[in-house]
Amino acid sequence: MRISATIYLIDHYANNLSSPMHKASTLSKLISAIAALGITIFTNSALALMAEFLIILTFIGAAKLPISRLLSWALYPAFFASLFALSQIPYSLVLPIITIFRAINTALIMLFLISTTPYPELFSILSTPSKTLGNVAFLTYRFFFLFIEQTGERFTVMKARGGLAGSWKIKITNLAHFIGMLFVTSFETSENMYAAMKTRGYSGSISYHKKLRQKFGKQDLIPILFTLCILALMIISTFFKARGLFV
Amino acid sequence: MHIHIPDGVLPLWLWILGYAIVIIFLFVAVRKVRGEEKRGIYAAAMAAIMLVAMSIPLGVPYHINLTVLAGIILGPWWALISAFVTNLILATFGHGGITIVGLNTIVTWFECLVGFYMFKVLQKAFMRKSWRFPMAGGVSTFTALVLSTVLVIGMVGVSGINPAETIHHHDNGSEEAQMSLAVFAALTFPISLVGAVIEAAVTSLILIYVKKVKPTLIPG
Repeated sequence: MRISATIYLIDHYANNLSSPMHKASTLSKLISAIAALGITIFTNSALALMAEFLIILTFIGAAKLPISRLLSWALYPAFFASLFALSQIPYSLVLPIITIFRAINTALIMLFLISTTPYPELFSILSTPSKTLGNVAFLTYRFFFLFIEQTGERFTVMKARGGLAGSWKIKITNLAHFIGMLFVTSFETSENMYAAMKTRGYSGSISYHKKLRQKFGKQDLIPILFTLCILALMIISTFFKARGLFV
Repeated sequence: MHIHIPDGVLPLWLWILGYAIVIIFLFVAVRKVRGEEKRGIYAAAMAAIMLVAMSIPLGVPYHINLTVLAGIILGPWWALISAFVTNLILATFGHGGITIVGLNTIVTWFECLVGFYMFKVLQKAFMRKSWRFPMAGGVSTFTALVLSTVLVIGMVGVSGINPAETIHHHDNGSEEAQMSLAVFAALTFPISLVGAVIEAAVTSLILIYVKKVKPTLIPG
C-alpha cells in the first residue's frame, strides 16, 4: 500500500471536491461517522451489513468521490479481515461474511469522513482536549506534504542511478543513508519552519477551528441522513432477525 | 510493528482499555512537555518521517517503522504523542482499524520506550566511540521490536480471538487459521526477527549518517 499516494489523494478529495457532504460542518460529519461506526461494529446481521455497504457506496458516489478507489483502499483491511474469516468458516458460513463486511464498512465510513473533511479540521477536534496534540497532528500533516515531495524526487534519482541495485548489503546501506538524509533534511526543514512561525508570533498554538465552530444548518442534513439510513437499516434487520427472517 | 486487526474483531473491553490507557498517558505527556514548543515541531516532523518511511518499498513484505529512532530522538513523552498521531492518521484510511489506535499506540510507544532507555544505557556501556552509536542503536532497535512482538502476542492471547491472522507481515496465513497461540508465537517470531534485523540495521546506519551530518539531533 502506498501510504503517501493515499494521503495525497485523500487530501485532494477533501479540499478540492465539492458536494453537500463536503459543505457540512466537521462536527456533524464526525458525530455521524462515530454513530455509523458504532452501529456497524455492533451489527451481527450479514444481510444488514451488505445492505449498509450499498448505502455507504451510494453516499460516497453522491459526494462525487471515486467509488472504485475508495473501495480499493477499503480492501486493505478487508484482506486482514478475510484471514479471520477463513478461520471462521468451519464454524459458520455467515460469520465470515459479517467479519469481512464489518471491516470494509468501517473502513469506508472512515474514508468517507476524511475524503470529505480536510485533515486539519478533524485535527482541530484534538486541540479541544489538548492544544499540544492538535498542533502536533496539524504540523505532522503539513510536514508530510513537504517531506514527501523531497523524498519522491530523491528516491527516483537514487533508483535511477542504481542505488537500489546490487547486493542486499548495498541496498540496505543506501536505503538507510537515504532515510538518514531524509531525516536530517526534514528536521532542518522543520527548524526553518519553526523559525518562520516564530517570526509570525507562534507560541505553541495554531488556530484552525473555522469549520468546527460552524453552526448546524441545512448543510448538515446529508450526514444526518447518512446515519439515519444506517440506523433504520439496522433496526429493520434486528426486527426481522428476531423473527428468523434475516441472517 | 503494529497490529492490523480490522474493526469489530477484538473484544470491546480490550480496545476500550487500550484507548483508556493511552488517554491517561497522553494526559501525563502533554503536561510533561508543556513549554517545549520546539520539540513539538520535532515530534511532528518525526511523525511525518514515520509516515513517509512506511511508504518506501523495501522489496520484502515489511515496512520500516522508525519507532525506536523516534524514542531516541524525542524522548519518552514526545514519542508517545508522535506515535499516537501517526497511528491515528494511519487508521483514518484503514491501515489498522480506528478502534485499534489505542492498542497500536501502546505497542509503538513501548518500542519507543525500550529503544530510548536501552540506547541511553548502551551508549555508556559501549565506550569505543567509533561503533558506540550504531551498536547501541542496532541492539536497542532489535530488542525493542522483539519485545513488542511478545507484547502483541500477549494482547492477542488475552483477547481470546483466533491468533492466526494478527501481526502485520502481509504474508498469506490462511493455512495457519486453526493454530494455537503457542504455534502462532512459534511461527510469528522468526518473521518478526527478520523484520527486527532489517529495522535494526537501517536504524543503526541512519544513526551513523545522522551522527556524521547533524550530531546535535542525537542526545548523549
